[in-house]
This record gives sequence, structure tokens and C-alpha cells, in this order.
Amino acid sequence: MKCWPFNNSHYRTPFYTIEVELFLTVKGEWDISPVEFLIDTGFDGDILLSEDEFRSLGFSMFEEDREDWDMGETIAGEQVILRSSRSEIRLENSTFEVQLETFNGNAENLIGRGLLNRLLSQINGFKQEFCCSATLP
Amino acid sequence: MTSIKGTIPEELDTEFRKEVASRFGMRKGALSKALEEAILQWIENKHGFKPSSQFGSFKTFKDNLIHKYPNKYIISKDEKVLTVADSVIEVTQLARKKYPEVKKFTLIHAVPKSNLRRQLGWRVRRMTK
Repeated sequence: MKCWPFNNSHYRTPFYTIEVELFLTVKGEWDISPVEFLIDTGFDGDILLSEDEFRSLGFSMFEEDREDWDMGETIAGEQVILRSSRSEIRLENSTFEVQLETFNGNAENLIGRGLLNRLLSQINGFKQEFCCSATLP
Repeated sequence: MTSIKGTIPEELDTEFRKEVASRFGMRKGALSKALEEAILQWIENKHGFKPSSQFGSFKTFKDNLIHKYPNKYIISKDEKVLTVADSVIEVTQLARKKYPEVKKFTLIHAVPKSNLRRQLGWRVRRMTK
């Protein structure tokens, strides 16, 4: 099980971030620098990438068809179109196929229930860390 | 085809009709054509892409793929199948190798699309005093 310390920046109460490696479909190789994602159980997808990273990491090259894009609604009630692509992520020694989404103006990297539901996760308040495992202990 | 009903200021309506007449003439269907063009332009400005001019054609194409290659990953371009494989990594690598000149592909996972409502998070930011 891999653990990351609670993230104390920005918010009064710490939140949870983890780092995973992304497979860059545009280059055909794993990204050498892991990307940090905020754990968000309120997001129902696999991975939401910031618009900048979606483009700069080259996921626009292999987008899904526009008719396969979903509409989303932010907490402010704004409707947004979720551009999407697919790739794989690596956590410990396991890989998972994931749908990567973004929308115009999005600046956050989130891991949602779509991926979390395939992992074992633990919020350890005593050690102030969030732990994840791709396999059962 | 469907019809849209709405209310706009009279002055804007007059201006729009003048513009339509100058571009398409007074012929039948000119107003609908201009309205369609305006909606497409509005979507493109908001989201940065042109909506498909043939709505629904991709669905038929994908339905055929789901039937022919269930659960596979497919790379296509202009609704032509280029490569098919069991994983995203494999299919994207094949596409880049076989078609190095292509800069943008369409990636398809041959499974039916869910029409369930999406949720983008339930965080509510607390305002600091």
C-alpha cells in the first residue's frame, strides 16, 4: 500500500492527493514525472485533467468522438462539455485503463469514483496520510 | 428537424432578418438556414469546436463497431477504421506507427455509451471571513 501525506495547502481542513503515472499515448511512453491528483469522491468519472495538461500531455491527439462526450454540471450549475480521451495509469505495479476528461476552463486534476472503485483506499487520520493499493493486502 | 420557439427584442429581429436577406436573399428557408448557422457558430465560440454537420452518423458507425468488435479499442479517422486492438496502449501505438502523418485520430471504446447523469463533484467552498 502506497501512502501520501495529507495536503494542507489551500484549505482549512487537509485534503487528499496522490501521484500516479500516466501513459502518454501521443509519445507511446510512460510520463517520467507523476501527476498529482486530488481525490474527489463527488466526481463520478475516472480522471479529470486540467485543460492545460490535457492539451500539453497530448491527449487531444486521441480524443473520443464528440458524440461520445458527456455533458457535466458544475456545482455552480454551469453546463460544460467533457472532452474525453483514454489511456492507462500506473499505481504501484498495477495498470488501469482510464477515461481522461477535461472541459473548457478546468484547472483541476481529480481522481473520481470511476477509478477509486477499483482500488483499496484508506484515510489514516492518525498518521495524517492517504493510502492506496491496487491489490488486496 | 425540429422547431425552436423563443422571444428576442424586435430591433434584433429586424436586424437579423435584414442580414439574412442580404446573405441568402428572400427565398424560403433562408431564416432557418441563418438560425442554424448562428447556433453552430455560438457553440463553436463557446467550446472551441465545430459541432458535427451530420449529427447521428457517428452513432450508427459506433453501433456497427460494437457489434463487430465488442469491447475492443478502435482508432478511426473520418469514420474509417484504421486499427483495432485489445488495449488503449496497443491501439494508439499501432496508429502512430502505421499513420505517422496523421495528427488527430478518433479513439473509440466499443462499448455502449451510458446515458446516466454525470456528477462533477460535491465540494462546496467555505467562504473565509
